[in-house]
Amino acid sequence: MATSFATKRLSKELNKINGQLPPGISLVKADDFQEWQLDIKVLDNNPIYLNQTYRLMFKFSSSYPIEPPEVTFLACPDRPIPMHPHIYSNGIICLDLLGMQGWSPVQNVESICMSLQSMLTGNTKNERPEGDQQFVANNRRRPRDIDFYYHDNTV
Amino acid sequence: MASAPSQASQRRSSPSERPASPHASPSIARTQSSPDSDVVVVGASQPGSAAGSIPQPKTAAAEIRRCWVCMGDETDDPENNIWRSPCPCSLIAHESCLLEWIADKESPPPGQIAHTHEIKCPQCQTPLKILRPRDPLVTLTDGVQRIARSLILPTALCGVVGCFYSGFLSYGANTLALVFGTDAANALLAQPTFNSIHTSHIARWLQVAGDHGLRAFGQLFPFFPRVRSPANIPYYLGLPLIGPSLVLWRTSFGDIGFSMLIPIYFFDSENRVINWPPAPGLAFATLPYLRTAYTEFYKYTFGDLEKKWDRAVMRTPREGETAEQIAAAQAADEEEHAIFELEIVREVEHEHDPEEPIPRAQNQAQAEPQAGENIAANGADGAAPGNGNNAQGQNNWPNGLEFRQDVSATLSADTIMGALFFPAVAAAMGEVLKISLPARWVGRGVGVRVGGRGLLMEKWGRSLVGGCIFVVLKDVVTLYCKWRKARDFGKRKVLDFVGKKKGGMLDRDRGHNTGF
Repeated sequence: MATSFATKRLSKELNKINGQLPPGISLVKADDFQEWQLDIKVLDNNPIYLNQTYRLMFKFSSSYPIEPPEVTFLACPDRPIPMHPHIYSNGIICLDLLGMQGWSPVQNVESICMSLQSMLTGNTKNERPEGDQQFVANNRRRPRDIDFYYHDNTV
Repeated sequence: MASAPSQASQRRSSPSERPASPHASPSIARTQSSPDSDVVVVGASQPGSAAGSIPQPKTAAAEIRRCWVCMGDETDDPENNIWRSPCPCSLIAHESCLLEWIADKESPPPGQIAHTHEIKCPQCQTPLKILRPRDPLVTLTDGVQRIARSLILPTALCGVVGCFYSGFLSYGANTLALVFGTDAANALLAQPTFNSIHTSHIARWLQVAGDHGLRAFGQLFPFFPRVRSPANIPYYLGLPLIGPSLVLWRTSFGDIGFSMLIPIYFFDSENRVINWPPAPGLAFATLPYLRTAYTEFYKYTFGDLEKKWDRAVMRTPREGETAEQIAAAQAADEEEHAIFELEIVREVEHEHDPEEPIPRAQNQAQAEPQAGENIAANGADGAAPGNGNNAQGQNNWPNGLEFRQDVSATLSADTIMGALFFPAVAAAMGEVLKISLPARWVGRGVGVRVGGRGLLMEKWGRSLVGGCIFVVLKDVVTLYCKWRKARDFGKRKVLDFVGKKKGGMLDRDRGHNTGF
């Protein structure tokens, strides 16, 4: 039941994505209902992200959309990790929307992409989060578990 | 790092993100329970409310209801689901989907009872009305759990305070026993400080109420010792203050604070008659004055000599440096080892050049020899290396500067330790006095108190005098050491190493030897 739940919802989303996507967002890969890849671009001329495309990786658990998907930036030859004070250099994103607290099933793949677009658009700091090096070197946890630790530790 | 929750909520309410749900669809306000669940989401009373929703083109699809959780619409499995519209906004969903979402929101940590949260619509933030079967015991348990959670912090604080309190109470009682002797201390503690025999009914009632209050306090706050009778309260308040007072006395403002003791002592009219030997209270209240006098006398007689000897053991001044500057710099170094260090970190919002902190650091380094007197300069001094590191290193905070300020460098760990062990040392000195002085003075031996009523007859008196003697002896020894070290400073020599050398040095040594 649970598996078909996520699959059903994702197939609905995929139908919609295949039909029409907002500007700056394009689907790269959606072979199954566990892992998708999308490309996003920042649309205004923010100098930090000008002429860059970034790749997002979505991983869905069987209880999606009750649980949030795991969303990270993926580094590829021509797809860097964007500079942002809430994005670690290994692609892990600190955004409450993607944590258990901020997530709700109203969100979907498209809305996450748009949120990340606006998160980049609104940014003016060309920097990594505090303690990026140490975090990237030591982190072995899944992004969803870290988020909790992260909020906790820095408030 | 706050990951911009405000942004998130803003985003959440942006119209483009709303699931394409038909706002004009009539919501079905059915309230009967679904067959497989006890919990029911109550639908909104006004059907088809379009509050806050953006007008959307009315297409044919707009007539089809779509669940915001699973995104399935009516065409998928028309007969299988009950539709709910639990809030004024346009979101509608299958009841089974909503219940699954609610269950996830309420899911407890493993091993605990689930407790009910307020569930809000993720779009319009309206609390969802959820009809659940009520059970008085469950409601009560939930309430108790909530109260218990809110008590965690107060209990933790209480525990910490209680630990300190009990520790200092034991310390105070032990110190009393050390200085006065066990029997005298017990007698002091047993004697009620105010008259507990009350004649009037009200007073008696008050006393009974006080007893009960104390008992209740002891049961509610198990971290604190139980007070048996209100008459003992002054001891429970006073004894724990002995330790902190001893430490406080070592600080510069101790003398000022404790000089209030004599006026307070004479408030009580019973204390105004002065006998010899003095009462313990008066004797101890005089100590701050005695100490101030002693300190002044010491400074007057030995202050300059001591300073001279201190300087004699320091490195020889380099060019353009005076001995005073070295002393000041060393004092500044000492300040940095303070046990209490208050860090004030401020972030400067406007942009700074990354090179900017480095000249600052150099300025501070030049100013360092004079920085000893001035705490503020010293604080900036401490911050300078930090800035230097930031600028050279990861360049983590190009826009922020860190300022540190060291405050209150007067207490160090060995001062505190010395203060707390002082009563024990004083008592030991008292015992030495008892053994070493003539029996007539200290009342030792068979014919106790033959020689009248001297100060040294009582144990507390001997401890007092012993403590004073110890302080003087310690200063004498310290001064002697300083004098000795100052005198022998120029006579030191570095000795050559005698014996076999290790490692590479050995081989080279051998080579030399064969060469010669």
